[in-house]
Amino acid sequence: MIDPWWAGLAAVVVPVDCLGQSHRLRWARGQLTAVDHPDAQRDRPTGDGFSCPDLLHTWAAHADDLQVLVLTSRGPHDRRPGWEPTTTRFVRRTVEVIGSPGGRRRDGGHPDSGLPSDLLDLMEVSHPLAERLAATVAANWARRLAEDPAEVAAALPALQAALYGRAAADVRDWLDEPGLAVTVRMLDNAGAEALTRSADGVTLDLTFDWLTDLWFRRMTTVWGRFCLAANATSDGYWALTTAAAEGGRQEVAVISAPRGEETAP
Amino acid sequence: MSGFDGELYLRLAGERWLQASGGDWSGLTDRARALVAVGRLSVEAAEDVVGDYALAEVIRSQGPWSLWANPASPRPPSDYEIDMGVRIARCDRVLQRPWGQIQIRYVSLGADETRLSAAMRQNEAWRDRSTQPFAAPWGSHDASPIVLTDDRGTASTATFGEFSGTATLWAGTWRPEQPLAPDTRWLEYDGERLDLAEPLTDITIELVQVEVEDPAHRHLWARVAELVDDTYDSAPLDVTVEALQACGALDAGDPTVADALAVVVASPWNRARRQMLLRLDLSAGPEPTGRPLPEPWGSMLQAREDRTGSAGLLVLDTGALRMDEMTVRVVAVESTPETFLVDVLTSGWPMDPNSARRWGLGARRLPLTWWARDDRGNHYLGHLTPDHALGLPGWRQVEFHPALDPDAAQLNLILTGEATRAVIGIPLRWDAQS
Repeated sequence: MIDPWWAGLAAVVVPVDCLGQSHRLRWARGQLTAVDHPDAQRDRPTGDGFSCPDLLHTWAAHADDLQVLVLTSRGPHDRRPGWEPTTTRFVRRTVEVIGSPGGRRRDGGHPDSGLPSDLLDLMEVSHPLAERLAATVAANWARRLAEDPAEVAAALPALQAALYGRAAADVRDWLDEPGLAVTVRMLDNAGAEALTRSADGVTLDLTFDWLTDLWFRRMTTVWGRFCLAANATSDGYWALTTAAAEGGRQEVAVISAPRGEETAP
Repeated sequence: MSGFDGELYLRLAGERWLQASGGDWSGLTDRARALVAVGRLSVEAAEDVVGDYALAEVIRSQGPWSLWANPASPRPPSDYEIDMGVRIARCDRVLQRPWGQIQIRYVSLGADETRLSAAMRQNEAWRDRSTQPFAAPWGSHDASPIVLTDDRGTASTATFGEFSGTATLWAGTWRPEQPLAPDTRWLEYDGERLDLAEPLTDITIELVQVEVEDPAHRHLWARVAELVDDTYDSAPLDVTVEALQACGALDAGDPTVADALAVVVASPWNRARRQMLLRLDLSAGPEPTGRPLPEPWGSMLQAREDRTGSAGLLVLDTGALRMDEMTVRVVAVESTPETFLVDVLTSGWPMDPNSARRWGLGARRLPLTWWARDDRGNHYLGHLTPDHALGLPGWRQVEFHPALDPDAAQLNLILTGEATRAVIGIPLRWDAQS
């Protein structure tokens, strides 16, 4: 995985209604900060109604929550969750219903619904912010996967599904074949990435790092080719392993690694 | 099948479903139910996955789910702990009204609640007099409260509710505000005396262990039983078959698949959607159409079109029957020209299957299946009616098809749970109570 995982990801600043005041949350270099609450704690909700510190807490509580990867976007062509005021109310009532059969409860969720109301609140604040949270979750799991694959065995179905959903959507979009059959095989870190085209569709062999290295950076295609992997070189470049639509021989594209801290207004 | 991961299979199905713009998620839940039924995934894991993807879909779309936005929508009930010790009393009375008749079906008398089950039938002369659309048999939308009185002189105002029916027949429940004496010998219904009698007791009950059965076949036939009568379940059988085959529980060439699909396609409900149901790729097996239907399905489906039942009501009492983790008490059998209905009181029901299927998230198998067989060799299949048919916690109604053979003298109700089967033998002596 490219280190640090957030390198090159643009900073995000979003306005937040915090007890009637227009405050700002800022994500940069992998960290979320409450610009107008410099002393905000992440370890517990304040309970005093201030949105900024509560959102920081929610962020920390869900930073390795695999449900985030299910709920958030699969890419530009995914249907964008609607968060208009009426939609929000709609969702609130709806999720009360659908959350109950599983009976699952998460920190911060409504105690009776078993639903992550706090996570939905955070997703409601900003789509780019939700994307950064999903990237954070993916990065945390990519790190765990690299450190001790056996420890994360129980999470493999969710990780593989997260990889499949995003890779399949991107390759269909890249080839402009919405109905294309796509198979995604998740490699361990020693695997060899590949794109194979056959009469049955496309098979992608990818590591989970593909999500953090390429997908969340919106770098899954370059020069009309599909990017299978990214590796940092010692001289300050990223080498992108790419494949053509028909598969076959892979080529490496080299781009400059981002330098300096990303800025945001 | 070694290497099969049920959670991964279900999550990948969820991803494909989301990218296909979601919509009806019964296909996802049917996969989950199939995996649970054959032990490839736990109920909890399956419902977690389906719940996650259902939530992902809900936050992407709102139009198709606007119905769900109704705060009054029912939630799947949790475990009920119901008073199973209520007294069931029959009441052989039909009250005449200008607009028709009120048949008192039976009365349940508990320490905390009294309920009087009644059916209102509109007469021919009244049918053209109602000017309100969708009016009740008495011509308006509301039933005026009545006063119920017991033999101790306790009188209580009762309201009518939890009803269902047609324009000419409404069945529902009168419930007084305060409970009446459980051992009362009679009730007064707005001043009209209703003598109460004990229910039928000459019934037989046999509880047996369910024999071991192939779980894939068992689930496949359970799905067939749902699809034969289900008017709102739109997921065809192929999703179930695909999941069972994917996990290795069902062979690709298993002829049971074609038998099962042939039954589904042949059912009256499903003829109109035959094409959808025939999506199943049967290249590895025989064609479903044109093959003889396995019994008892063939004769049972044929009888749906040929048979007209007679009208009659039997109030009985099986007492509380322990069925696995729940308790069931059968209290009434009512025959009509089109069907017959069985009223049951239940406790410890794990999840209302109708609600689970309506919300599309339940992954459990149905806690009970309902079959019946008469002394003339006829078979009948029962389904729980929607929640509002009896409407009260613990009370459920099972609707059987085809109509009851008018010449049958004995009916065996067969309730099958996960491990226990109850066979309830009921003599059909309609003249004793009707």
